Amino acid sequence: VELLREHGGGARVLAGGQSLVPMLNFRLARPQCLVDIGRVASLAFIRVHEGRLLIGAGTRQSAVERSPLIAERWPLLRSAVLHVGLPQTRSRGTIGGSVAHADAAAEIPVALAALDASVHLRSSRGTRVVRWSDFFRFEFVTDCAEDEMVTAVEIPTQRERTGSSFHEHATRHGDFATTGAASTLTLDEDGRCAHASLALLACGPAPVRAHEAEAALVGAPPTGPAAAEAAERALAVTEFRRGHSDLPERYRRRLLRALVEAAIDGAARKAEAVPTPEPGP
Amino acid sequence: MTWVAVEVNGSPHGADVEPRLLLADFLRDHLGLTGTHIGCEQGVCGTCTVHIDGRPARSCLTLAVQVDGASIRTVEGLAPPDGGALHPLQVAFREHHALQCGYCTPGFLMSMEPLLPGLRGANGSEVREQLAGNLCRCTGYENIVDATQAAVAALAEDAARRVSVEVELELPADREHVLAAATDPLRLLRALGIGAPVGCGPTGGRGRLRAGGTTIEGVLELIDVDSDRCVANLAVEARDTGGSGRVNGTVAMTLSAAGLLVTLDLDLVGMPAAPPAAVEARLRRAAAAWVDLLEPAQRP
Repeated sequence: VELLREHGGGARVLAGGQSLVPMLNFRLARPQCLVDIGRVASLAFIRVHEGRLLIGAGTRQSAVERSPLIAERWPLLRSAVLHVGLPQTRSRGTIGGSVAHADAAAEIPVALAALDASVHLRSSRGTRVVRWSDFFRFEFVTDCAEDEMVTAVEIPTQRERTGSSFHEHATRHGDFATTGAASTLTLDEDGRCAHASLALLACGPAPVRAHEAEAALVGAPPTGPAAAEAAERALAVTEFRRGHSDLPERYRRRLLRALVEAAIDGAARKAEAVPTPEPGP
Repeated sequence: MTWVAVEVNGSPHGADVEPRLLLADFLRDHLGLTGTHIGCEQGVCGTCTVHIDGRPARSCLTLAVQVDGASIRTVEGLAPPDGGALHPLQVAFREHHALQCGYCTPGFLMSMEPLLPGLRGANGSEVREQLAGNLCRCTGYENIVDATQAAVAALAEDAARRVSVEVELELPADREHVLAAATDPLRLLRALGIGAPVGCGPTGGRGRLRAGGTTIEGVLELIDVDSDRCVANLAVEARDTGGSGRVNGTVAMTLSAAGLLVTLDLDLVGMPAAPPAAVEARLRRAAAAWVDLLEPAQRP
């Protein structure tokens, strides 16, 4: 962070390089200085502390993919990461890099939105924690200042009896996604939806949560009609952007509707599969 | 200029390079290893794929300075340099005519080689999915899928074994510090006797072991820690530097009032396996070593 301060706006942080190096190769980015954090061991960790999940910015995506703790307790993040690029890029690409790059078609920011995550930032001025919704401002634009860097992401404890699901469409496996949806659903004892989150991919300049759609799900069993209504409301907040895909908007809308319904259905099935806790003694 | 020291195909190399130099150009122009091809220079075509610390990665999306201290394997490192036997994957590619012009072949080989053990029992569409990161402009994909499946089948025949050991270890009073030491990949490598670690980065510790004339090189990576429940999960990935043997697996450690529960799950392909009892004995010794490895300042 001292180097970032010294170089003012001329420096960029280089982590795994799976987004930044192609930009350098194309001369889309021409920073005066690169600060390589790839070997800062203290930035690479996956830790559960007081029920919350902390992932260091330098943690490789492949580590998240293989983490038993994440697979067990935050499976949405794992399935989102499995859609990121290819094994050959996830071996280098990092969590912090994907977050700081803030591509609107990126999977990790969407999963973080669905999971109500926060981003930890640090500069020579100090540290701060920013909620995902304040962090992702626009396409490739975040709340991270020129002298700041992302150091970790923090994800709260997943509620009891919660299921999650991530669905996306990409023209080719490993290519940038056309659109997608991530959902978590929490069921009460009667099988009604007690809490819902629905985050949309490439449906605006930054990850979006479809709050109206979530409201349509809460209080009812998460079956077909509720999911269809949620998909309808999700489409209402969607703003497809030209740069994300060459596919016609009408097709993208149909895709998104199917993906939202699949995400809700998948999350509901997984939540139903969670055994209801035994009444305490 | 920046000094970069890397190990390529088992031999140490060092060079003064421009920070902007890509790993692909470093391998080709500085080390003369022209088996690594460059296609799209944007991470799409996959022909530049090499292994960085045992994992497939794009050398066109990596700067040479980023791999300082790492271990690199290129297509030249698949078969022994003295004209010895080809790697089973290379044999399968030759037998199934899985290359036409050959430009994409090094990338296909390097992408698929580490994935072979995980593809055991996979069907055609699962193999295709794993091949998605490499492009062949001769479009000879059918033969590439056939060759990959044949290589997977050859591996399965080659005495693939699974070693699972669970050991409950009793620990002395300063057990709170044991987990901290046990989750340090460098210390664990030393304690498990996987030779002298040669480097440690965010991916964990790397180590070497000489056993019966072969050199086994391994990476032990700390994957995650649950500090609420005192659980740590580590991944082991090791291979035989002269051949195609591999060890993949996980080590799970849970600290409880009773002691430290170590669960070792290893998949061995073409490697001699110690009997579980010997592994257990080694783990018991390791538990004592973990305690010895604690810095005096860390003791209560």
